[in-house]
Amino acid sequence: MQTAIRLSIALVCAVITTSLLASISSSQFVVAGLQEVDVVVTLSDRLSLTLSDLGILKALCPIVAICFLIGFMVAGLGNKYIPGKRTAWYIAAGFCAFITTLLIISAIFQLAPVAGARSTLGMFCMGLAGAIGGWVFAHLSHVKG
Amino acid sequence: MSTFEQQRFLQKPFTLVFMLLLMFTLNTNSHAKTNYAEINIDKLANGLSSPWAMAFLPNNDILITERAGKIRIVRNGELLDQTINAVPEVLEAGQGGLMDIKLDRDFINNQTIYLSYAHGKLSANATRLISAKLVNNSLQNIKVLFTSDQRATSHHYGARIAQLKDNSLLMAVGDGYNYREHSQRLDSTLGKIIRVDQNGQAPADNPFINTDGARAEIYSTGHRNQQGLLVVDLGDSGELIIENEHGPKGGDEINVIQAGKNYGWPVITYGIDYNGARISPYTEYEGMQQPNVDWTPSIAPSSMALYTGDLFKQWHGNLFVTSLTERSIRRISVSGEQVTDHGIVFDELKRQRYRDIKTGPDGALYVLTDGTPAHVLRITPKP
Repeated sequence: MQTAIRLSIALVCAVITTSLLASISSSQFVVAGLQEVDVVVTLSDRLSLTLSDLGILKALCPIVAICFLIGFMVAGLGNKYIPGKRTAWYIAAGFCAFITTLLIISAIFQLAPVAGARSTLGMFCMGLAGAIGGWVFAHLSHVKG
Repeated sequence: MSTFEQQRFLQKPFTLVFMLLLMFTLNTNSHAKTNYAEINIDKLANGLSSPWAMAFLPNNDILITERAGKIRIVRNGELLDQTINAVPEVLEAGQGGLMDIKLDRDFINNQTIYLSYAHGKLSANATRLISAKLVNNSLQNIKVLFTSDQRATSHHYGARIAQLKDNSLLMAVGDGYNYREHSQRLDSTLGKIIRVDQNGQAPADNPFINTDGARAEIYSTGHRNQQGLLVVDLGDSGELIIENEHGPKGGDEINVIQAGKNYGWPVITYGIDYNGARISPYTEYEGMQQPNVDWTPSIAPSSMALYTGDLFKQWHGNLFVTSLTERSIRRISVSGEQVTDHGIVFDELKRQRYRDIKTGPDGALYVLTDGTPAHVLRITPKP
């Protein structure tokens, strides 16, 4: 029971971390896109947009939760058969699971589900957000000793 | 409670009821003035498959494009099995395929039609404009007039065609969804209205023809996914170009188009992204045009017709806009550059996705439904 609670808390924290970072990252890419076409975006407007965009968490969190569930189960199995690199397994799983999910949605609907993931660099940053979520999960779900 | 307070207390609900009654009365009057009491709706041309646009031939046949790449013929209300031959291969994917069809202003003499369609493959495709001669139900002398910059998506093609008095052609080119910043770039034809002559050349008076690094065909910038584009002849006063376009979630627009103007996408919009994120911090920005009409929440306008008939006499010169999401037809009046949305008309119509609307040669309104199976509705007032 304690294990289940610990894993659930770790998953929730990982999902929130990744969704939050993905949202913030996406906002910065959107602002950068506007600046590339010579639009002057003030710091306060950037902050206002970034905060407002956090509203996408309610859409993003369920998607991240589903992809992390699958990704972390694979990481758990990987760690079982190739032990010793537990944290690395979850970081890689977070990176790959989130990017794969975004790519699948893009392929199915022929459009980027998150504006900040339209470029290669933007997609890589989404992967990093997933990787950090993986690290959070590995850290919080780990039983010491 | 003092007498004064009692009076005020009594006055408030009385005032409220009075105001409500007044509003109801005004609304009823306005409804009677703006809606014909009864209409006839005839269902024609059953069995269309994902149609996109209609055009009337001088003999009253209707040509209808289907996204898969067919041009169907409707004669005396019946959909013929025979189709127009030699239509170029199109990319039917997402929102793309064979899209608009437009007869040349001098079709009777030159038999020229214009078509727009998605050209290429899924990983690299474009909005293309061609001209062709329609001879014996076959396209001949097909000429590519314009091909937009390529994109790797199958959304937001724009593709509506209009012809100006000088015979030059306007075509809407959508932003390709994932390329929204291109709408602001003069080196890209995505997210623009372009203008070419009948040979596909940029006319010498195009607004950016002498601008370094700019595409000569660009007529206006800052568009997203234009679905309605038409030219209103103002006689000696010239002509008025009017377009409508889809915003994202909210921010659908009608714009009066002027050469060289920037209509703001994605820098200014009243819409937000489908996932709830902002497109931009701004709804106004220096040098960018405000919409003449903004629809937030979205109605998803799909086409626009200038009513030139006499059957709906009091609506002569009005515009009608069909919609996909609101599943309605709206009436729009234009006075100078003042564009006013009068709301939904034809309450009798079934709420369904409508794709195109035209004034028929008989003065009736012809409306194309969306999807498969689709059909044409002929709307006339009851005598």
